[in-house]
Amino acid sequence: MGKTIAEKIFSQRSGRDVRAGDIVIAGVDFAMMHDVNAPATIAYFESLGSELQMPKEKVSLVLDHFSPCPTTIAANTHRKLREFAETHQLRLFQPGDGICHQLVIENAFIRPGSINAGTDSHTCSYGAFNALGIGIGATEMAVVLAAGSCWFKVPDTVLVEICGKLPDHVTSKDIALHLIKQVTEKGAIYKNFEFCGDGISELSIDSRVTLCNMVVEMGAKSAVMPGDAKLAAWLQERGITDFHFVASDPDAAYYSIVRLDVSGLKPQIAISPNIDDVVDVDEIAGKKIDQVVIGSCTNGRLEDFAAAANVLRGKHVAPGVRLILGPASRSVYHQMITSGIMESLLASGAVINPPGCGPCAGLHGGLIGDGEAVLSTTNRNMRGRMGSSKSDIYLCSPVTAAFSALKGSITGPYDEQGV
Amino acid sequence: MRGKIHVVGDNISADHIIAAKYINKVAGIKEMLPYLLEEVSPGLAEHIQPGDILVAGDNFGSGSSREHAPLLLKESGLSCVIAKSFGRNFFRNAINIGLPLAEVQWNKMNSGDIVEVSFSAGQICNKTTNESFNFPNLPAIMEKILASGGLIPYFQKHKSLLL
Repeated sequence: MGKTIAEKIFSQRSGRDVRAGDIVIAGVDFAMMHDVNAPATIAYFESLGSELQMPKEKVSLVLDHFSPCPTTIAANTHRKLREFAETHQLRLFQPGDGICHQLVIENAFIRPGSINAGTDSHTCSYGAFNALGIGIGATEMAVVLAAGSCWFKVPDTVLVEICGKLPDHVTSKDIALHLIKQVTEKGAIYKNFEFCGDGISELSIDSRVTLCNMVVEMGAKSAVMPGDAKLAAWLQERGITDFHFVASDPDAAYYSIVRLDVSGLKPQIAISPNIDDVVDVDEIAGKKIDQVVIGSCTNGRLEDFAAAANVLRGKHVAPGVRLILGPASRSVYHQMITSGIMESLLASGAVINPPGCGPCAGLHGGLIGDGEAVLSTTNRNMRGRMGSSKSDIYLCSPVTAAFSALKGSITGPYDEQGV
Repeated sequence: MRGKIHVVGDNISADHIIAAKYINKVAGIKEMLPYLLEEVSPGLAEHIQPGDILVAGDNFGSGSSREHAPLLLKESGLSCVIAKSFGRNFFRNAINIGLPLAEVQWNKMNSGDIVEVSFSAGQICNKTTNESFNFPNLPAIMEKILASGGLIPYFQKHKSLLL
């Protein structure tokens, strides 16, 4: 019987012939920690008194959730992390450099066939590179630093076959929300998602990152995209040529198979406060919104802001709507400026946050008050996540966010005639 | 262990246990107690006595990798958490910080019942209703980690991961 991509990667990296359900120890190819969980990691690591076993170039520390620091407590946390990075000569990204996952992606730290760990649940984003990205806790990361490896249970795999070309104004975020509706938030606990199909070939690498990013919201451990011509070109453009794609065997055994034809997919909205309460946008059209957020590790890339700018160009957001943008990195921010997108969005009334996580987790940069509703391209909408307990969070794509910001209420795409 | 139970529902995420927005706004774990499960059961921490047990439905602790979630549950005085299923990251994190978990298909449990948990026997017993439920053992490595009191004591002792 053949193997899934996950079974192959865990077999290769553990040196054993393993299947779903097996427990293995495998080398970790890249380790990322950020300013929410790294403080505990470095304290535990120091208490172990161990040498750093992870090669320095395979570790990154990112200051992104408090970017820049909104409290003195955060500032003092950052001081400790800087000291640790300096002591151990580790790569440190400063506030304003960007969100951890975006930086890992832009710096091309992820290789096909690799196992990567991060102290963040959206580490699953790295699956876009035909690799495994696995979220772990602060304590676990301390031992990864001290041991250079980690124990893993090889996951079962849910195969998701996407076919068809997305209609205009519909994005990979809509595919993600639609998939979450089908599978539900408890429908894929511990599973790896393996994506395939012509619908995936159509997606840009950035769009694949968005889709992988959201699998954790169904309980998944990780996601993996195929190695194809588009990914090969992405890697080669960055001077990376020594890679080997991992493909599943035709007779691999899957936990379940989901087939989605996205050629007729409508823009999706996840209704407050449940991530899997997803509807076509028309079913909730007209819901008044006070704030729109476009950004985060889910949808904070240039193609997201370009799509939003295409909708907003020459127009202004509706009265009473606050449009907050969170470019996922300094590089995205810069490209927004040089391309003219930044100027266009500013003219449309946008507020631009420094690159970082900000409002997604209610940390800073645009929280919402009692009775308010925010429409956001982020990834979680549980009660109180982005501010007041008495507020609502709706999730969507950057395109839907832009149309809705213009209208002042949740809406699907419409043309000049209002159709 | 034996304790009074507090029962909560399904799909209670790590964010529900303790919202991210309190991180670096309050000084530490103890200061987060008033916000424990505030959207699910406001003020719960005040009603937890040392040795009490939390009983949850499906998908407890889903989503975020933040260890603040199991740490805060442990800080509140709970001896262990029982749930029908756990979020994978929370499950690992709880064992790593020494908070015992039991994944049990339970029914007919109400807040206030007295429940006994035997990890060696793999069984929980509701002393109020006289119903018992079995649960599977943890993977061997997790049993060893928990027996050591958590991943850091385990690694301090063994200096490597042993399956």
